Formats: sequence, structure tokens, C-alpha cells
Amino acid sequence: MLLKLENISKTFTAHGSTIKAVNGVSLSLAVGESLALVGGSGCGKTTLARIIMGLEKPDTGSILLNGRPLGRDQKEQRDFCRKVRMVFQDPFASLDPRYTVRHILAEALCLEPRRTRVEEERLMKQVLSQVLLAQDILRRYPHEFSGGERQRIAIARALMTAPLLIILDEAVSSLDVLVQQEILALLAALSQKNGVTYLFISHNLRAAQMLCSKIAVMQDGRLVECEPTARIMAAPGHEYTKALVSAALTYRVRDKEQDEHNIL
Amino acid sequence: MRNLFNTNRWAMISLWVLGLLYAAALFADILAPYSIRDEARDYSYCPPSAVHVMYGGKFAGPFVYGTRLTFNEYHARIYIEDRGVRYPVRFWIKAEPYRFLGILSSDRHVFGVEAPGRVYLFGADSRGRDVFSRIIHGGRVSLTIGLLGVIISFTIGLLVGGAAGYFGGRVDQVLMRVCEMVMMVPGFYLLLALRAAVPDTFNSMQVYCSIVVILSFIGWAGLARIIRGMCLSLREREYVLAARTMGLSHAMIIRRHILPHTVSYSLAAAMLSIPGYILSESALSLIGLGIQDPYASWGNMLSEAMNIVRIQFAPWILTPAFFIFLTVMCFNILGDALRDALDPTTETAITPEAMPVVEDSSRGGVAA
Repeated sequence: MLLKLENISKTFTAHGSTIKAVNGVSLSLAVGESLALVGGSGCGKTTLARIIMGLEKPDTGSILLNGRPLGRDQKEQRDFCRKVRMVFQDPFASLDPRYTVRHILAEALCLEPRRTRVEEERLMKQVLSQVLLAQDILRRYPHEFSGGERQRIAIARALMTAPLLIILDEAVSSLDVLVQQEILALLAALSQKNGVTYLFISHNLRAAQMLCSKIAVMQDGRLVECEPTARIMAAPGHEYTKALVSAALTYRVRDKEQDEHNIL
Repeated sequence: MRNLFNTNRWAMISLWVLGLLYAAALFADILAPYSIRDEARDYSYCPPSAVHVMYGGKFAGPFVYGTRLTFNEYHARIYIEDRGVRYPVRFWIKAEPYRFLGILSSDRHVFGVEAPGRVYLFGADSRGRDVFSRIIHGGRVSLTIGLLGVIISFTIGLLVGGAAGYFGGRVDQVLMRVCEMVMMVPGFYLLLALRAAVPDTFNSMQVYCSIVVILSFIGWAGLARIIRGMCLSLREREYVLAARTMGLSHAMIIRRHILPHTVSYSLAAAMLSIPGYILSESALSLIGLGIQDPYASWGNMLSEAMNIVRIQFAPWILTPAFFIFLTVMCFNILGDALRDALDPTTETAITPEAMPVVEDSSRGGVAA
């Protein structure tokens, strides 16, 4: 197992009321078997991602990478940081506007052993070509790029340390439909070529279907279903999943009608 | 930024005025005809000398007449021009030797008159020292004390505020309570108390440094609080989260991704708080706790003007006040312009809450 989550819970307290954002979630990801985490807004997907990345401390539960629990040991945490990377939702917010692409990519290497400038530059160019960006953009600033290009830069940043797992937190949601397709295709190609596994967090079942072989459905902080993609789409077990799947299907039908309408 | 100064004429003028004042302070040794110690007791409270160019209906180059001391009907000293003696104003004249910035030895001054004549552009003080020369020399103290104080207190304020805002929780609690303790004590009394703690065996340089440190110690808390507020929101930005997931150390994140985003604000706040330091120094020197005679600062020159009879008798000893006023106003205009350029939504002048450091100016102002 690449990543294993055991009984993760997290409760937030605000103004006297408590919210169980994540409630006893257990998950496991095998190498090369990307998992989609699907659910409505506020179901705890993002909190779970933040817990995995160490941005929040879980109340209970443990995280295992390659079968080893993530402890307090600093060396292990650094190793985890290098092997598990995250791409954020908003490409306009996740790149610091004050720095050039070179600086942004170089920062991703802060835990790596030191490289010479030439090596570093070669690595950056290689990664940029992987995400289908021109190699001469290193001196440019994030504001010079479109949303899709920025998200590619963010993905390039995640790829710098050759990670085993990339957590994509709504990574395509803020992009327009065509760019979404491009990025999803790129992600699929990268997974095949580099063997990187994804934890794809989304509210969009169709995008999840494109990229992942398994889908886990969350509702109100609980994991309600976790099955191979084909089975979820064909025969959803849980009521909530059924609703999600049927919503996605009608959306698709409407999309098609719209396309036909446009052609006419 | 460039745009701002092109469109805002007053800001542009302020920038030039400040530039001139700082340049004058830098080249004080050369520019001033006399040194700060150059006394001429015979010329006590000598009025500003009139510079003439015409003599006997003909152009004769700039010159001043000699002065003669007499007494009026109330037995007060008055000076009258002695038309019989002329002292031409010479440029690049050989006079008192000095070491420019402590390196270059020279005895040339931009202008002056041959001894025994004396030229007093702004008049003389009680010991016959040239007010013009002392103002230029005093500018070195008064103008740099604001800059140095701001640099030190903003460094402290940025670090403390950055740490409090970024880490939050207990760190935030502790640091903010410390801030509040500093802010709680009325500034001027804290100034006096801290000054009292400085040994009076210090020489002028040490006194100068200790005043800078004291002023910074009072000034950092207000900025720290504002920076903390900004950092609280900055730390939830996705690029900060991204940096955290990539394993950057906290210090690196604060330095690279948090503090740079507060710089534009801090710069404007710094500009607006410089007057506070200048006024505090003046106030301290005015009551005799700052820079000591014979060294000049605009504040201690004004201490002579605390007596109303003297002001009536020799109003020119108030000239340093005009320079303080000019500098403070220029910094305020510049800071305002800078702030407006950074945040076009606010129009009114400084709000006390947003710019607590500026409070010092009112404190100092009252005392001055």
C-alpha cells in the first residue's frame, strides 16, 4: 500500500458549536491506482487532504506511507514531503505573485540534496516539457500566464521531486471546461509515464472517472462508499452516490443537447 | 510608484525638499561657514546679516558690513551696521579646518567672509554661534535619528508581528501582550524614564545612539500589531500552504512569502512615523535630555527659545522650528501620497488606529 489512512477524525470548534469535519475515515491507495475522493461542498474532502499534508493535526488516526506510520521524526516528515505533493485548487492563489517561475520551481527542491545550477536548470526544463510548457518561461512571473498555464506550473512544481503521490485538491475545478480536459489528459499521461499516483479530490464525478480507477464518496465527514470507478458509475450502492451519479449523468445529457444545439 | 510622484505635485516637492535637507546635512562641514563650536561672544544674538551687492550705486559683488554693538534707550544690546567696514562674501574660502565624514581633511567652505567679519544668514545665538551653520549640522542628528529609529523599530515590529501572525496561538498571545504593555505606557513618560536609565557619563555619540534605541523601543509595538493582523490573513493564502506542504522552514516562509507582502504597507507606515521620531528627539533635546551643547540638534537649539523675552528680542532663534515643521510636513505628505498610491480606497488622513506610530508625533508635538 502506498498510502494508508486509518480512522482519521477531525473536529473543529467555532463559536461554541462543534463540527465533525472528518469522522473516522479509513482509506488506502495502491501504487498506480489513483483514487478519486468525491463529495459535496463541506463534506470534509479538503480537510482530509490538509490532514494528509500535515497542515492540520488529526484528532485521532494515523497516516502510513509505504506501510510506515508518519511519526514526529523530522527526517521521516521531510521524506514524506518529498514523496507526497499537493496541487491546490486556485492556480491564481497557489503561486506567489512576487516570484518568477524559476524561483517557484527551485523552492520545491528545498528538501532535496543540493544541485548545481546547471543540474537544477536541466531538471526544471525537463519538468516543464513534461507539463507541455515552453522551456523559456523560467524568468517570467505567474501573472503573465493563463489559468491553465498556471495550473501546469503548479503541477510542474509538484513533479520537481519525482513524488510517488500527488494530491490534487479540486485542481481543475476553477478552470474552464476545455482547459479542464487538457489538464486531465495531461495528468493521465503523466501518471502513465512517471507512474505517479493521484488522490484526486473533486466534486466532479466525470473528471474523477477520467483519471481514477477507484472512487471514494464522502458525505458529512464520513466515507460512504469506495469502489472501482466502473462499478460506482454503473451500480451505485449508497443513496448519496446514486444522487451524485444521476446528477452527473443528466449534466452530461444536457451538455450533449447543448452541443447539438450549438452545431445546429 | 513613479506614476504617483509624477501626478502628485506636492509629493514631488516634498521629495525634493527632503533631498535638499539630507544633502545639506551630509555636506554640512563644507556648506556651513562655521563649525558648531565657533563662538563669538561679542556677537551674542546678532541679527541676520544683510547681504548687499550694490556699493555707492555700483555693483560690488556680495558683501556684508561690519557690525557695531551699542545699547538702546532700555539698555538692551543692539547691533548696527558699520557702513565703514565691508567684508566681501568669498566662495570656496579657506577657513576653519575639518575632516569631511571623518576621512577627508579640508579647510574649504562653500562661502564665508574673511575674519574678523562674520556672516550670520539666520542670525546668531546667545554665544554668537551661527544659527545657519548649527541648523545644517543639527540636521545630521535630527534627520538621521528618524531614519535610524524607523529602521530599527520596523525590523523589530516586522519580526515580532510576523511571528505572532504566522504562528498564532500561544506565541501570538505572548507577543501581543508584550506589545500592549509597551503601548500602554504613555510614550513621552516612557521616553523620559528610559532616558533616565542612560548614564550621564555618555559622550554625545553614545547619547545619540541611546536615543535612537529608546525611540525604537517605543515605536515598534504599533507596527507589530498591524503586521500581525496582515499575517493572520496572509498565512492562509494558498501559496503559503503550498510552501508548507513542500517542507519550507517557518523562517523561510515568513521571510519569503509573508513579510514581502506587507512591505508596501510598511513603507508607507514608515514614512508616516518618521516625523514622530524627529519630534520626539526634538522634545527630548528641548528639555535638555537629548543632544547636549555644544553639539547641535534642532531640538536643543530651540531650548534657547523657551524664554519669551528672548524670542521677542531675537526671533531668529526660532528658525530650527521652521525646519522641524518643514521636515515633518514633507514626510507626512510623502507618506500620505505613498499610502494613497498603494491603497486608492482610503482618502482621509491617518487614522489613529491604523497608524499608531504616528501618535508619537502628537506627543512630541505637544511637548515641543
